[in-house]
Amino acid sequence: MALSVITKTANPDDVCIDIAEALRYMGYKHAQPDQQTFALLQDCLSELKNAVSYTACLCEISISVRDDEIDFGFLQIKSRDLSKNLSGCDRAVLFAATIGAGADRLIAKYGKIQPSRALILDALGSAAIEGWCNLLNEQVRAIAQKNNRFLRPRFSAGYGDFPIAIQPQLLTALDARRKAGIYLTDSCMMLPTKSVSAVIGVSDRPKACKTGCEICSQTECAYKA
Amino acid sequence: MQLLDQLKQGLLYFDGGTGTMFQAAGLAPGELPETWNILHPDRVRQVHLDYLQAGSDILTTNTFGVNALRFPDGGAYSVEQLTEAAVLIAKSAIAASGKQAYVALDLGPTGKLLRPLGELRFEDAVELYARVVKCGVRCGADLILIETMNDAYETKAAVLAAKEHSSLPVFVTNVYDQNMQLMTGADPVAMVALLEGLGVDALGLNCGLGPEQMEQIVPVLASYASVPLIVNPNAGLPQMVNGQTVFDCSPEVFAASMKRMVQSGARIVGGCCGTTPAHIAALVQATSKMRPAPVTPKSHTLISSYSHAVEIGKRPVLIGERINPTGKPKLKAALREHRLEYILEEAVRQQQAGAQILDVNIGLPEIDEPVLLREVVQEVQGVTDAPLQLDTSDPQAMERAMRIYNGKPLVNSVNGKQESMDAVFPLVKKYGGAVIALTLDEQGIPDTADGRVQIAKNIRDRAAEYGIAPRDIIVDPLAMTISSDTASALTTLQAVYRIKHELGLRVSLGVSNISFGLPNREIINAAFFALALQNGLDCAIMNPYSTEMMKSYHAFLALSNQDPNCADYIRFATTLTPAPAAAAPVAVPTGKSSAELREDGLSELSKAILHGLRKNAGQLAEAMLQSLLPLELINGHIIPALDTVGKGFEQGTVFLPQLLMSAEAAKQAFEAAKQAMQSDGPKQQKGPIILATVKGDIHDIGKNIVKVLLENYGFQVIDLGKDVDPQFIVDAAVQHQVKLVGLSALMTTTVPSMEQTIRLLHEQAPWCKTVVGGAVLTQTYADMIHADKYAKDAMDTVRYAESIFEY
Repeated sequence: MALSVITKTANPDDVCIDIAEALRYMGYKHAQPDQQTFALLQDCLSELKNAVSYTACLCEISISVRDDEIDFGFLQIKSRDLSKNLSGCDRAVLFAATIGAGADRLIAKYGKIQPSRALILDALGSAAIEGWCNLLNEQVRAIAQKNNRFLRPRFSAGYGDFPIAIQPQLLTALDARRKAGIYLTDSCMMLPTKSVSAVIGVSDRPKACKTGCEICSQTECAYKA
Repeated sequence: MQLLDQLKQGLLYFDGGTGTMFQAAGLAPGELPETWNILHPDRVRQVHLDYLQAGSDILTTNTFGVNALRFPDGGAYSVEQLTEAAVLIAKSAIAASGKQAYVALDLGPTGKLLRPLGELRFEDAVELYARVVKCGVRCGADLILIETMNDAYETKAAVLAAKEHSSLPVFVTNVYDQNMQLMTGADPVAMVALLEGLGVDALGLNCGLGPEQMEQIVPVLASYASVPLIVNPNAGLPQMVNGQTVFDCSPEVFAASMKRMVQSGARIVGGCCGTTPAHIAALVQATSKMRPAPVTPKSHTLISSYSHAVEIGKRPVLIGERINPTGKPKLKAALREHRLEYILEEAVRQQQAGAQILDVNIGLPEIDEPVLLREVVQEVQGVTDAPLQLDTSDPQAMERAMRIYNGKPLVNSVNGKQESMDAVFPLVKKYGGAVIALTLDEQGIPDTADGRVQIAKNIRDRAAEYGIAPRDIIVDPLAMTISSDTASALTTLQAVYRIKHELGLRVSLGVSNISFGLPNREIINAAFFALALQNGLDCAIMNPYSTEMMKSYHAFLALSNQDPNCADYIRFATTLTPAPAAAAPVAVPTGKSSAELREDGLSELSKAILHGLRKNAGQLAEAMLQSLLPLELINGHIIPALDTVGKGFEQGTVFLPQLLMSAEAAKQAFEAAKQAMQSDGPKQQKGPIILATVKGDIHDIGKNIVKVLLENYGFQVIDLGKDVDPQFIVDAAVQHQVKLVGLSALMTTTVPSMEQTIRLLHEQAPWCKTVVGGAVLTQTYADMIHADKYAKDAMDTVRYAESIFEY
């Protein structure tokens, strides 16, 4: 049987766009932007909110984890980092989420005529997709909690040694193009560009896990938190 | 034509979903259903038979995903093999059933997003569809169904392929979301405009939504469409029940909702995901006795962009005239130097100023208009969602631009000359469009309103012979200057009135011509505009920056009861401010900012640049140029400010957004200085430098940032764009003999393209240095792929470029 995938959407006001996170993407470590930049950022934020269309598709499946190998049913892979993340999980929620093509149009538009605006919109767009994932994550957590189940931090292809090359299988299994309008280029980039796919492990017991930048072995990255 | 005749009589029934039925018959996860045309033709035939049994009149072939991207040549099954098998299975099911039914050759999305949002070229998409169409036609399909399309542009590619390679009826259905938009933004009216322009035989919607969600969209389509409507919903919205997807709509609920949509105008009905033969049987039972509303031709004049339609003939429409080199030396220079961002800025500004449609004319004797117009149209559509008026007298340029245009364009123009109509009407018929018709013919422009009305009539009648409806003819009865004939305004106004009221055609004017040769032309233009509007003018090609014209427009709307509560007028009038003095004092913000820049002793202009105040920087520069030489301005005020910001960035006290805002402000000041220089004085440019985002990578923000900074520092940049083929970059490097190529990549998966580009550059352009950057790049990576320089940020690239070009 094909996976049972559902589509979810959210209103622009329901998704929290973390400005501090957006500033970090723009290279502000702990500094605050000056007045002009802040005004421009506010302006970009309202323009972005009018352009986003939060959509996601997700499904829950049974998985099995043995040593470094994870069996998703439709896909078997080897990944030390992911199997660490999923250890103790018998199920997982897979999802792909996007803020839509409108944001890409805005970023492309200003990339041509006003790059400062494109830069800020790009950073806000990244913060927006994070916010949308957080909201989805929270919804999944609420359901899990009712059943006394616990979630692992979401894990995306490209983190650690979880290979980005599995994206075609993952997005096909999620029917992400039809269900959420998410495409994949030949080089495994998602389109619209502000999109995320991820695996969330579901387990009977809680467990602390490394998340985000902690699991990344890259040391020269400018964005490392 | 049998199918279309039957459609005139009453309802036709499509089949329903096949996915669930194939899965029940054993389709494995990940297995491509189309391979069953070869592996299990009996199972595919059985699904068809079940639907015929349920009452379907049209079977959809099992070819939804058949294209050369999913089934590449050399694979297990060819596109032709799968298509042929699918059509033959459907035909044999019909023959076995003994019923009269039709085979619809099914074309689904390619699976790739088209440029500029994605990577697939428009013409490649057309070609992918053409292969399936050619084969389906050969095998005897009765019609072509283009379905589940969530992008207007891809839909256009599929329709063009269908039309160019068959004479079969073409049906099209799109996927709308709950906000009544396609994934890439088009609304229902925009789709009606586009699809009817392309000459489809029926249109509508499928998938995405259940019938109840579609009920609000059908009436919108019905009020604009002149062709029959198709409605193929899912069986409701999918719900997760015990880990399984369940569609929430039973056959009975489905049928009841479909019945209401037939009442609102649906004529071809069936189902999509989750629907079964039981849904179709219930639908047939509920509706087969109904008499659907007749399909009536509509008279809306619509043109559209990728997102929305603009209707001409209701509220008067403003067409921005500023993208036209006539009399605009700056635009001429930008076109010659291929600085398209100048045009893009004009496009955005005009829309902000209130233009709803933008005229695009790039005609200059020394440029290749067919090539450039096509490019400009694509670029302008990348920055604005306003529909475009394609303005050229070169039929080849017109055809290329119309083909690539995402939407239904306004075509400027045709006239009463036989030669003109013979060239323009076939294009309008093929690609869709509304056309501006000038009232002149082989005898010239008639002096009388009578003569102009007569030409309008001739054009209308000749268009009808091509199958172009009067609603798509917008007559321009030509405003001729009153400075040479004081009666000419009256003649034009009479013609406006009569063409509108006697012929019932839409009317447009290029307004400003009326005052040619007179002083203070805006006074005359604005008054004439108001008079023309009162006589029935539907749209005007005008300067949206002209306050006088905008005053006339808003006052007219308010006075003619077209502005509820005078709301638009109030908004407009209260924002009118006196023109700013040339050198408005700069409001330099106080308060602590992250930029601890030393400002003592800096000029106002330098401060404006430091603070990224674009407008002020431009105005201040212009004012200072009254007493300063351009080079003094650049070296004494612009460069020092840029240096301060650049150093601040390198020291970590200025951040990237500020650096860019300052660069943009400096650019305004540079523009003013350039204007003031002798136009053909020596160019103080270094370079050129090529910039490109490598093949496979469609993120170009970093490259754009580097570009603006390099230009600021006086380098000429050749921007090759994103997703650029390695050989193309090398060829450009050889052609322009560049000393430096900058490459950006965002993903690890595209670094190999970067490596390949560098390797080819080393082989074919060994003199050329390479600088690389982008989110995934590190010094280690850069060394690995043999780049000459890894730039950690945009300023780093600037410094490296300076070191290369220092000699």
